[in-house]
Amino acid sequence: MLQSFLLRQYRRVYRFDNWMRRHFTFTGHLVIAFTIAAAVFGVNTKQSTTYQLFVFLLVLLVLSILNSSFNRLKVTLNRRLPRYGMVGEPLRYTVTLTNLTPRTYGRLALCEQLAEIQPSATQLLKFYQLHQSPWFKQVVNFRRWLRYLAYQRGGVIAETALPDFAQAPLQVQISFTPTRRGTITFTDSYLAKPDLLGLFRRLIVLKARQSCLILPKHYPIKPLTLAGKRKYQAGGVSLANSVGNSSEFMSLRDYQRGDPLNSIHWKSFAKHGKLIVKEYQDEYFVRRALLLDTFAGDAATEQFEAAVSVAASIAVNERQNEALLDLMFVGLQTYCFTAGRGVDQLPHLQEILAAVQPGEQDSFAQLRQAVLARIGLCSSLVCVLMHWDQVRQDFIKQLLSHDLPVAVFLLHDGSLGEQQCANKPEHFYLLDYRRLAEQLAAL
Amino acid sequence: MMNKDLLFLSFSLLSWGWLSETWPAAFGLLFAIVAGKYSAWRWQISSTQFYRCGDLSALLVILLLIDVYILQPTERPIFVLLKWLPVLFAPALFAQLFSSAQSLPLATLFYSLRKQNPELADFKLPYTSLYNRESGVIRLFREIDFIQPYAALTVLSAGAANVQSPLYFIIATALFTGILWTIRPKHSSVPLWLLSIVLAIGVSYFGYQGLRQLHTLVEEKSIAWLSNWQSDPFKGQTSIGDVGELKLSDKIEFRLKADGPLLLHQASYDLYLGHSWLASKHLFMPENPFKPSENGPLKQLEILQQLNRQSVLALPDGTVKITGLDDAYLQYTELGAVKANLSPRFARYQAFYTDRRTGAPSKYDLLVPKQHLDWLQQIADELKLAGQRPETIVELIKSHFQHNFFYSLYLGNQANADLALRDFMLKRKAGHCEYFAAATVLLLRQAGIPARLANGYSVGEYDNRQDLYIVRSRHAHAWAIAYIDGLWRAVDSTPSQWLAMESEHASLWQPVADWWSNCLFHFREWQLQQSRQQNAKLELIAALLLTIYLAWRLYSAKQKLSRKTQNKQSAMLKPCCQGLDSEFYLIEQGLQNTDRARLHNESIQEWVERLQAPELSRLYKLHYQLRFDPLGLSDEQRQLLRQQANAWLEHFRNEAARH
Repeated sequence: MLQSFLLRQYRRVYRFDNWMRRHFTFTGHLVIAFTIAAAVFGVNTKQSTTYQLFVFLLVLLVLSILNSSFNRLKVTLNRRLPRYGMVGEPLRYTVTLTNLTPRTYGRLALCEQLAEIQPSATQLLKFYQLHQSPWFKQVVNFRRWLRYLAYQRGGVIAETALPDFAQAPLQVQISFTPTRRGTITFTDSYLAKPDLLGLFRRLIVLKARQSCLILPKHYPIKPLTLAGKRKYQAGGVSLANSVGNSSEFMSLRDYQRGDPLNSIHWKSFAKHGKLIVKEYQDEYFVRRALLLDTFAGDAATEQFEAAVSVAASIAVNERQNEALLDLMFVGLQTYCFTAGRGVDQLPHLQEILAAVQPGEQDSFAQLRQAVLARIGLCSSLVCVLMHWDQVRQDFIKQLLSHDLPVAVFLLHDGSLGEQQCANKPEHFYLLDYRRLAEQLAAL
Repeated sequence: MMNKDLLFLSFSLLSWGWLSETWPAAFGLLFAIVAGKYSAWRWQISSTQFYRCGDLSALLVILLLIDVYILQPTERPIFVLLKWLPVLFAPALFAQLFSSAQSLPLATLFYSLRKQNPELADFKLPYTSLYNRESGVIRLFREIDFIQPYAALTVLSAGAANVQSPLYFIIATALFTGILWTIRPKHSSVPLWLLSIVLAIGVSYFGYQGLRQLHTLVEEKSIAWLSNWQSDPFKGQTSIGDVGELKLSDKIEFRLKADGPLLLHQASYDLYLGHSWLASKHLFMPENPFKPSENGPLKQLEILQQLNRQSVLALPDGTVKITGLDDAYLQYTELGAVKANLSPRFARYQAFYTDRRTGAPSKYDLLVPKQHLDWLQQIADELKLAGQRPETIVELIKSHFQHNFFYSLYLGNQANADLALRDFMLKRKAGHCEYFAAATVLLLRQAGIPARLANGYSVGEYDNRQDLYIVRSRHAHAWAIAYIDGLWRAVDSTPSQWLAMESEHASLWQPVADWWSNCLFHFREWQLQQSRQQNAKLELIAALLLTIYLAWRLYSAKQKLSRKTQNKQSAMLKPCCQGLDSEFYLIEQGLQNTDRARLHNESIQEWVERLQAPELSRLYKLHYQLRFDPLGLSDEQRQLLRQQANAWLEHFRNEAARH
């Protein structure tokens, strides 16, 4: 009740603040400040004459606002976004503006906006992990509300000043730094045009809704030297991620009971009158599994983001032509995406990682089942974990018992030491999520 | 600074000097500005030093407020602040004029922006843009050009001069029109722009006159309404006819030193109009109608009170002289009210009095309202007042109220004042002091004795610790005064338990409120002593403290600056290039062009493992620590790395030479 009341007030304050910031020029803000000061000092018209200034400035502001209602400027906007951006790296793109009127305009500014979704109380509680806190601590203050909004927005695009805007199309280079992974949506842009007096700005809406995928941040990391064996892959490389045999044809032979129907060579059957089946080349190669534990539990959001970054760093550094990489995690269901030579591009995994969300329930058992089902195909396994409890320790022990090389990257918040982690495999890396870059570089 | 900026500053400062009669300050500031323009001296001022200039402005504002509110209280303190705004903000202006940056960080004026966490800065949408006139581009206003805002501030400040003529309006509109002209957008049509400005000036000219008239009208209407809240010597509004319960405040109004309990008189009223009592002679005169020579020996009491600009004093009967209010303008009425006009302050003043109120009664002192005649006659008959001596009549009336009536804070439910008084006398027989006083006055008049209603305070609460009588709001009292044997004598017929009853209704918070009131009282008394005895000394101490503070700030700023420079120097080596001076690179360099050289795709760790040189294993770990650990190496470890790397390289070279 209180929370929803507060959120309503936050929304109002934020909307008003934005309206003021966007609509008034700097001089407009100064005039407002002086109007208020003149009103305060001139409230008693018999004690000072600042009320005269108050009236003049107020009339100026009103005239300015009325002036801004007359507009003849018509503009079109075309935005060219790159396919991907990356968290923490400047995203540069171009906007082309075309003036459809014969006049030249000065002091215009382009306001690009990223979509904002006002958070609900439940979203805020989940984001700040306040479910377990006493009720009075569950009240989210305005600063935290803004922080959530900024996180969800994914970045801030500064207003861009335009040079004199004549009829020739104007190309504007804009850059901003995305602050979160996932899809960032560009909503309608505004062209701010100051009025006659230069106090109030009319915002001309330019409809151009677009989106851009922001990949997780990744860090340079040394390639892992896990001594895995090549494994037989039924179906070869091209169908390694699907059911069925390889398309690399080897020979024909007579049909034997149990051969699948889709391997029957029907042309030969027509010619010889007996069933003949096609035989394909058996494939042996290295196939590595990258397992991402999406159960965040009590861990901070930043810790989960760090885990995704570690997974992204490993995926980026994988040698594309030498092995296949299976990315496995649990979302609404268990997912397994394979990338590598002839199957899919490794950057596609980055796109998938950009959309991974933390799980609310500990679904590790589900993930474990999925991994064990494919254990015969895997040469080695890299696990990115955020907890080191008994279940996960048993799982790693089980993998090691299959003689499978396993590397574990355990993200923590600085509270864990090497000594506190029991049953460590040979390749065990403890990473403090706040010192990720340096720790990954020093591996 | 451009010529038009100089024009704006000169215009505004000269206007300010002219209207406010602050010529020396205006010329001083203008001289410094012109000197700044034509001098080539510019300083590289850091953000922190800009902030110090902002702090200095804030400090000047605080000192001025202390001066006008505490040290030398003035009548219009806020307007003193307004008047001196150009001087108070001069440090910020000069910081910009004499800096090489030629702009002012916004955080100089807004403290909140200084503490802004850079990580949180992205949470807010970017600021609105600012048109920079010199470079012709728009940029974010983290920095501002303070010249035009300062000129506007100076014109605002000139409003404190209160020159009620169109002159101020002309000056203000001229300056703002000039500023708006310089920032008008390129696409603005000049005729339209001029038309807008002329329209704005025309509308605002009539607008401000209308506003002034509206203010006068509102003031006139509100005076009557507001006057009901105050102790008004012309008109007394009683609670007779009010319904509900009388609400009393425990607030301490003043303290006094006196020989014993007494009644302090504020005002008398002789005309009864039901709900209200009026004073027929309400004109204030500068002369005290009570002369010392007329009235025998003098008694004395001392009052300690926070006085407002206009205060009606509560004084004992027959006050002939007041000392300790030398700066106040005292006015008197014939009915005994005394008004003090002075700057609001805490005052300790002495009243010399005879305890005998003189003055001839008037025809109004015997007026009995017709609507009350029936019950007055009935009571007078009951008490057998006819034919009695005045002293006996007074005693009979007092005794009647003491024995047959009760004191009550309950106001009853009769909204008509006349009927309420009748109910009080005939049915309810309970009420508060105003009922007793009004009924007594009417009964005395019915018996032929001139009488008036007096109000003031009943002093009775003694504070042993302070050796003072404490007078609270709830001690406000009303009583009758009767003219007997050439003197006005107090006839207080309210049953004596009224003080005790009102004390019972005291708030639970009273001790806390009293404690706070005592603290304020002691502070004000101390302040009064200081202002009397050591005013000059206090100012000297304040100046000394200010000098020490400024010297300390200067010193600490210098220390910080030097620390910052040192940090900057070390930071130049550390964060971006940390460990680049590592001797391990010498080994790498030394092994170049040999079969043991490091490969391009090889990390140092892999390289060392490939070399199978155990002595390098420790060295490369130290090297990594130097390069990537934010804490770096200790001095011993750094020394170790240096020595061992050089020793290994030497050894390697010797080996190579031998082969």
